Amino acid sequence: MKTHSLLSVSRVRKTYSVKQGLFGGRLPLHALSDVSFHIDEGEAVGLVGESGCGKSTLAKILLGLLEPSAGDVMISGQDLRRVRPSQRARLVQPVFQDPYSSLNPRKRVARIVGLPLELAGMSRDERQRRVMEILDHVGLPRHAANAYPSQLSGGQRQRVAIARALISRPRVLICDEPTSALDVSVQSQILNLLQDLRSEFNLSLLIVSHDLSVIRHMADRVVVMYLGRVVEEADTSSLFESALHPYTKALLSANLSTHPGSGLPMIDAKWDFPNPIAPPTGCPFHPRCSIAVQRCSTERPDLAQYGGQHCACHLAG
Amino acid sequence: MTMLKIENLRIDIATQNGTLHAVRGVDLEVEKGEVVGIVGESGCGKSLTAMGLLGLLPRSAQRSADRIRFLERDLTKASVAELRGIRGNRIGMIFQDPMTALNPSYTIGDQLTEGYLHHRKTARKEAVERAIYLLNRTGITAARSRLSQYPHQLSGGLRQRIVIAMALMCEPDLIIADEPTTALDVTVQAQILRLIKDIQAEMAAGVIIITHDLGVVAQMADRVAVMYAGEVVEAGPTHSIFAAPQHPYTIGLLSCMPDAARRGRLGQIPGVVPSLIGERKGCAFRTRCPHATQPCRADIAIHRRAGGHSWRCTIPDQTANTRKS
Ligand SMILES: Nc1ncnc2c1ncn2[C@@H]1O[C@H](COP(=O)(O)OP(=O)(O)OP(=O)(O)O)[C@@H](O)[C@H]1O
Ligand SMILES: Nc1ncnc2c1ncn2[C@@H]1O[C@H](COP(=O)(O)OP(=O)(O)OP(=O)(O)O)[C@@H](O)[C@H]1O
Ligand code: SF4
Ligand SMILES: [Mg+2]
Ligand SMILES: [Mg+2]
Repeated sequence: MKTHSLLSVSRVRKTYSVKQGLFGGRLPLHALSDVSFHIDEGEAVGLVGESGCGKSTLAKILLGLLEPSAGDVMISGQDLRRVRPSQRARLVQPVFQDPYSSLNPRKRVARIVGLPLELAGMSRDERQRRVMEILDHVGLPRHAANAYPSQLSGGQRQRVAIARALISRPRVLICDEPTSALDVSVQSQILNLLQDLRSEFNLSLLIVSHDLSVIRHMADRVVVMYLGRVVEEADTSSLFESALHPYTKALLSANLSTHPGSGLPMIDAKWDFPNPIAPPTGCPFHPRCSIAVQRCSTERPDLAQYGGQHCACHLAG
Repeated sequence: MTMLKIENLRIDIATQNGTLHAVRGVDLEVEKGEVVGIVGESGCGKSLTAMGLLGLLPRSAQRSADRIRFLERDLTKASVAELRGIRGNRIGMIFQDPMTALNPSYTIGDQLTEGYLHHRKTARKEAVERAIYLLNRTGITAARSRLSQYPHQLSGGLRQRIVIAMALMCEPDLIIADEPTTALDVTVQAQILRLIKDIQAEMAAGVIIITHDLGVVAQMADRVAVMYAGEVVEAGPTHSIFAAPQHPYTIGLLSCMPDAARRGRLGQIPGVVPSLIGERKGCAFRTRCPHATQPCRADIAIHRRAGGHSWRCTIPDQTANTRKS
């Protein structure tokens, strides 16, 4: 029998209730529908999909910051809801997109990074030692310990966020668009750092990104979401070499090469993202899909296995 | 034909800590029918350069330039009224956030036709027909019925297409697109870029596209200007910039990009961008450059090569240091 995954969700749903217009009533928005997904020990999983497809919602559920409307979240073989916050902190930690708003502007770096240890009642000296150690690991100069976030560059702030996440020695880092707010030159520093830390601490990673080149560089396995559902899942090389789902194919062809002259892609998918409050019947992608057949508009395809890949499309395989 | 030629553009901004020399002697040329990409790190002066040529600057900013020749005019000598006549008419603009260009309380139709009616002094009917034609061109279905909608009733991708249609209403000679697709999903981005490129080719308009995305410049631009700390440090045909970059900053920037052909560690540029407050002499990149030497502290000569490739560095040929590609 396969040993359990480090972190997994099964058949998770999340429904928000959203207000319609100025005087409208509230309607349910299904941000996640029947999502199953896992991260194994030491693995780096990439999560891609268009804006609003539910990536951050899933990330927050994995962190225990959001209750799913239905379904289970398991961490290290235990139900996440039953795990005490202090223990959860030693299992899973976040790194968010915006290093500007995720750090308390009125506290110094040493305090921000050491806070989890302070809450756990660790002595001052011991805390100090651990903070300095972790600042070294993430490549921050020791004098940064006394700085306020506003005195640091964007890349340095993201290092502080990573240091704060690592100080509890978690097993998984959930990185939601960790470099989207950063310049390419700073992005490369952060991605290199995450790779180094991964091998150093045997960390598992979830990398949420809309940038396929980042996913390709970082992930062992990729999960593609569309409108609240997983539509494809495969190991990274299979996904980039032989994607099955028409949406994945559209995403891949839309990724612009940095080799001049490859040209602008012709995108098969039609332009408009559907309204998440009134999602299409059948396959959620069918209104934009260039190969859709009659069946696609009435019958929803399940996620099925094709070799080592999973795909939810009637015409796959 | 050179339609735009900026010579020695400087923009200083008064701040609490002193004068910020945000744009420091930028030269830029755009030929008729050419797409010029400007790339560079956040804060390097890309948007100010583009806004500065039209005099659209914050109050605290001071602009100077030897010349800004656009078609037959020198924009440094143009009156406010003349500039207004050029903006939205001869020069169309597309910004990152379509809501900066759209007024939430007017219909799409009113906003599309306003500039046209003002500049062309034509009948409303003709303006409406042109608006519908352009909306169709941008792939918007049921164009006529969109005219009575308000911006908030549309998705981000649709809004950006409306802003593009708006920029094209008067058949501008030059289009300035400042991060036109940064806020959009990649599938929509590719479609919008194709649209800009097709229409530009059709109208033989010049385009300045500002972006921090090297994939966008690689596929859109005929020529690229790489900016660092308020200066153009390297400029040239897109293929030579990508195949044989000469400035150490450009070389560093390209090595930072994740690339399927090169797994493993990404390149890094150590250090941070220097402060642009106060005078600075020599190469602004020298604090981070792996090849910096004593001469880098003095004024830097510009090297020029056949084909219009130029760069500002003490090292006359970087081919030996260039990444293998
Ligand atoms: N608190 C909330 N209340 C109501 N709706 C929400 C809330 N949070 C998210 N949503 C909606 O749920 C859907 C999924 O949102 P989510 O933030 O998870 O998407 P995402 O994939 O992370 O998008 P992005 O790439 O833009 O970050 C969207 O339609 C969003 O508008
Ligand atoms: N209104 C202003 N007041 C003070 N400083 C400003 C103002 N506008 C721009 N600056 C400064 O001028 C410099 C250049 O700004 P600019 O907006 O041209 O950068 P950019 O290259 O377009 O960056 P980004 O990629 O982030 O858009 C920056 O350091 C910026 O902080
Ligand atoms: S199920 Fe049909 S509509 Fe959906 S992706 Fe496959 S072919 Fe396209
Ligand atoms: Mg998100
Ligand atoms: Mg800008």
